[in-house]
Amino acid sequence: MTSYVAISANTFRWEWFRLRRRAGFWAIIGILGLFVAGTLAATIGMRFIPALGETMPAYGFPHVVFGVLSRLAPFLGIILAGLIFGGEFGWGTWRTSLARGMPASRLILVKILLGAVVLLAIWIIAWCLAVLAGLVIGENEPGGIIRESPGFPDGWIDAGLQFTSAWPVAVTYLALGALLCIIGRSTAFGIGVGIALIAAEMIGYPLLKLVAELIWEISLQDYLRWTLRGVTGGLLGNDEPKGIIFLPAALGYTALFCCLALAIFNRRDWDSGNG
Amino acid sequence: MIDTPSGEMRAPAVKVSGLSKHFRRVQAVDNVSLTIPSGGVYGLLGPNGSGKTTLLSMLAGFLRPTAGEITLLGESGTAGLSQSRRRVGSLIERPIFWPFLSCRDNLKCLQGIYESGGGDAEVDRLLGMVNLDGGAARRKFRACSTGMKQRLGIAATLLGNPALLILDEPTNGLDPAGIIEVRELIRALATGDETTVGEPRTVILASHLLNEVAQVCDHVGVMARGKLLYSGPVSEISRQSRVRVRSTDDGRAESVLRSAGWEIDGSSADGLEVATTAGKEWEISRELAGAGIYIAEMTALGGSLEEGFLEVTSDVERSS
Repeated sequence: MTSYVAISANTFRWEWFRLRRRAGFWAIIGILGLFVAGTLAATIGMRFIPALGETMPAYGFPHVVFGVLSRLAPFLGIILAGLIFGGEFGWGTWRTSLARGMPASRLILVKILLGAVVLLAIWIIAWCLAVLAGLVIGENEPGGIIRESPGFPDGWIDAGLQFTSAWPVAVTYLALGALLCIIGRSTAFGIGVGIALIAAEMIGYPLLKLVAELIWEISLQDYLRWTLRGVTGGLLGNDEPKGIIFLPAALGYTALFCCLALAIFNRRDWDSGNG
Repeated sequence: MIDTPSGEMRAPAVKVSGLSKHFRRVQAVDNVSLTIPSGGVYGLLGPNGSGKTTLLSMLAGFLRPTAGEITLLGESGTAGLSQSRRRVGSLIERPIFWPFLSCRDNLKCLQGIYESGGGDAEVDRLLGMVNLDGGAARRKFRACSTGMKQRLGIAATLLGNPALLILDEPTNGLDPAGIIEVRELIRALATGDETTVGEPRTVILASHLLNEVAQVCDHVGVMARGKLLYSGPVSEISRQSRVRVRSTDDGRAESVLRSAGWEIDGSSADGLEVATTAGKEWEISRELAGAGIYIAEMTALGGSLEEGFLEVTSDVERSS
């Protein structure tokens, strides 16, 4: 067991060695940084709009950043999976990694773990930036409109839990992205189909919900609560009931995607290097 | 088990029995059974599409056999093979590396993944061994020439001082000087030459270049249409040889040799082309001297491995 952990830690180290040398990875981090910084700047800029009235508490800033991250989380998960998994198909380097008896299960799990850790690091940095902005200028900022937005936290703990909830969502989509890359054996397929699925969820789900309520007079949420969209939406607090009850289901989806990815991966031959 | 000159018994490096692989309707490898002795260079010969690469890919663990059993370095079964493959370096078809990393970083990364140890010094030593040190080591893999990529591929197979090397056409893309260097390196690896640091290894070399195999290999296997047609020492398959004989009376010499059962492949003003067995050319001389005919000149027409190869594969090619 100790040996397995030690070897996996070593594999993790070299996966990270490669990921951090890829321009695409830093491009994603840069774009994400721009989103977070832009959101914070826009919030700070509200001081120039006198009509906004009462001030926003410091813990409101993480809520503002959460608004951005929660929308980007599924995309971030899919794109990161494309970077970590898809590229190996394009270059044919799966074979290089799998030489010398490396078990496929370890490689897949380490790659998922790397994605999850990278996402966690992004979340921690974004949280620190938001808290810093909140503590330095938060209390003095007019933010009545934001305060009235749905899901505004009751305090720091609520803000922290809310902020953290978007991370498992990103990890679930990371696992979905890995599965899609392995099915399609390419980055383009993984990211393309993944983003199409998210777009379909974002547009189709609310539309279907509205149609169901207006025409059939039923609450679609009762039927779709445990679908991927229902679970991630619930975790992010978009739909009632919200919160922690969806976490086991999100972990279940992540495990399911990982197992399917591994099962498909294990059935492949690697003579050409891309399965 | 195989007897070594020192008398100890060594397990064969590779033993496969009833190994088959088919891709849908194509039978790439057909019921191959083979034993490759430890130490030395084993050449795998065969025309394109004969199943050499598929066989090597199965040995390296990149392809799962449809049927049959593999024993590598004395280990078999899923867990055993996984263990033994940690001591197998392979370069199959083409070298594959991460294009955005330099040659050095690629090797460092693989050293880490394979846990082969040795640190930066070992990476530098291997890069030096394949003439990829200095500026070439810092070049991104995607910017490397075919020859440089091939050299890096060979260096990667040597990480961790593996006991078995599987090299599929390793001289592809190399210039003539590079080809000679790689052949010398392969010989040195097999004999445990001090420049390569380490024990003698077993090298499996797939090639369709007969002279390459003739120069480098101790044993050879010949494949065609997925079947293993011959496996044994190079000297055995090279026995078929041809000589050109010019004598004091070529006309009479032809009839004497024919009546004695020799095969005459051709006759011209330059002399007679006689098929013989390598090392047995003197028997022609004895035959003719017995009939009062004396040889003025006897020239070996070479290509003895080629002859042997063609003879072994001709039946399968004809039947297809």
